[in-house]
Amino acid sequence: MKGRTSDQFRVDENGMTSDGYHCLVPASRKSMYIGNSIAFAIAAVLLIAAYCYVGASVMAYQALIRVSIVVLLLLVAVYCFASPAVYYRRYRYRIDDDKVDIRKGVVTISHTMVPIERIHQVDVKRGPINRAYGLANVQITTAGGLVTIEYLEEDIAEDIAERLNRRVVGILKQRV
Amino acid sequence: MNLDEIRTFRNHPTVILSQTVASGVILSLIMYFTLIDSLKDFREALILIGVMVAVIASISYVYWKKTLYVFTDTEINVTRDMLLSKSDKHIQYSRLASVTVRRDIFNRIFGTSTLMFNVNSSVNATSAEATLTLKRVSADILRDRLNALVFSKDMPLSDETEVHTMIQVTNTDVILHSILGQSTGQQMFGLLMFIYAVVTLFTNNGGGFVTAVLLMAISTVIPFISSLLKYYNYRVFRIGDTVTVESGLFSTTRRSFKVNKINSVRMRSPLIARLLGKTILEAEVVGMGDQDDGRSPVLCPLKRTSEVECLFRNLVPELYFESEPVHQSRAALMPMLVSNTVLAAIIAVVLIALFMTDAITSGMTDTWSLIVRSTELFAAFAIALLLYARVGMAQRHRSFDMGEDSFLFVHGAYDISREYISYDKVQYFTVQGGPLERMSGVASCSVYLMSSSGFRGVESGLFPPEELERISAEVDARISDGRYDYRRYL
Repeated sequence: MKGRTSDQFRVDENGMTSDGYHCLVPASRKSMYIGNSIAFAIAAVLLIAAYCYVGASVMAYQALIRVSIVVLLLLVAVYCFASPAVYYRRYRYRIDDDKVDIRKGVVTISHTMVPIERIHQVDVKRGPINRAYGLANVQITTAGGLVTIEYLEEDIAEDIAERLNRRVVGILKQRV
Repeated sequence: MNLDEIRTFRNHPTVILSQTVASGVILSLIMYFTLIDSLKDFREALILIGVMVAVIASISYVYWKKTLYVFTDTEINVTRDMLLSKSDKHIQYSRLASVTVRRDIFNRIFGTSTLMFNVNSSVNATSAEATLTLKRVSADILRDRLNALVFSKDMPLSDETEVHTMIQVTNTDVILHSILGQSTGQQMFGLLMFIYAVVTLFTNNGGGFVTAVLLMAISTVIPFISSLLKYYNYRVFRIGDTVTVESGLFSTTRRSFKVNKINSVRMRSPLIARLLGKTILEAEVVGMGDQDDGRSPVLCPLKRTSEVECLFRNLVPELYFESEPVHQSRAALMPMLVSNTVLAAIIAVVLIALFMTDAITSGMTDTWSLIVRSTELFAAFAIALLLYARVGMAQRHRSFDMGEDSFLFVHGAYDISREYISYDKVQYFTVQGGPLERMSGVASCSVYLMSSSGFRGVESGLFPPEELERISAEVDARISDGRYDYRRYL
């Protein structure tokens, strides 16, 4: 990945990379910010509740625990509020005749490749936050686990799911 | 019994008794620990247990009466027609990954065998799709018939007992396997709990002693006994395309699976076993996790590495290849060293802060408390040392190689696994790298495949991403040029 990181995520005016990857729509960032804010609030409430519950029984370590909680919450906050912009900028996906290809990541960048031949099932999933922004995820089920193409516009998600399902059914029909 | 005439079965009636006894004991124990204070006397407890046992027996009877197994030419049809629910399960023979014969204590008492049918699916991989208990003779005949039908294996069960095992596993090997076959982490945890138990015994800390002994029993002693009972009298052989593994002291288990259902074969060496030049051979076969607590079935307990490699070559030549693996380059050292240094520093800061807090709050006047507390400083040093040793071992052993039909990942650090994975069993593939890896021009990859307990990812060491992506390219190439033929795996 040395020397290629910036190139592989550079997009042209049509929102495509030079090797034909699609990027996300701007609304996906809003969905990520809201999702991350909720996750941060839950993490903060759980940490503070845990501190209130056990804090009294470990008087000697209270200062240490308080400092750890503040540091941890600060790190989580920085990640939650900085990550959507990076995730949005780096997220790319491509579907060709043979495979589904997804590049994504904030700190760790991953490149996932799913041969279409291995796909068992394709679903479109809409959570409440994504639904508010007209977004959906395409969930691909293989025998080795799940792979998700995230934050797609609903019509694009439906279209991808239909294309993949048609392709999978086609492969199964060839086998009969 | 002629299966051509009789194709419909019901479980042997003794399953009612075995289910009732097993459930009755569990319920009685739960009741003893939860209701013991609220019951007036022993008679009341007995009546309650009696009522519960009667209810369980009635339910087991209805299940037994209403469950039928029909063996057609192409599938097993399991029907259950209950008052409130009705189920009709069809298990095609082509989907069967393995048929297991189990003989536990109840089976031995009543002269029965339990057949377990495992399908080739990552869903419910840790439990058999269907189980059927029959008189031993009937179970053997049915299994022979299924073997001929599903696994193209015509040898009757009675003749299989005459087949020589492909490797001689002595009971000493099994005892060594039970001790040294456990992961290094598991062994270290057991040792730490043992030391802690001894210390708390001398410091009269009764609660700490009991906790340490319990944790040692759960993490090390029980797995040791369970492994000893499971792999005693071990035999493994291959007839045609079917591998059969048989073992057990009190409960004998005989499992058969087709070679084409094996997703990967792993030569696993925990640290101490590796220092002794010994290795375990395991296979990932879907649906086999139910017999191994979710772990992969063992093809050979701990034996000398050369003997295990020879067995692998003869038992599953489809996945074996002579390899000249590419080792991790020196570039991989930097990300491993930096990340482990950061981790060691965080742990050291926390432990030193704990030590300082204790020193300030307790004053540490007596020698004993000073000794006990100084273990925090020792732990900071020991953990850093262990982390650096881990880096050294990972760098020395991690490698990968690509063969014609399979590829090899050597992964791990203290416990090293040489895993041969079939290209055709890779479900999907991820190459990933953090900032340090990207700076060094390396990445790791995770290969996802079906496993004995559902599905799992096998992670490689750190190599140039272009090298790792060749595996994915080979998987795709095999699909598009026809080298991958789904019919080979039915």
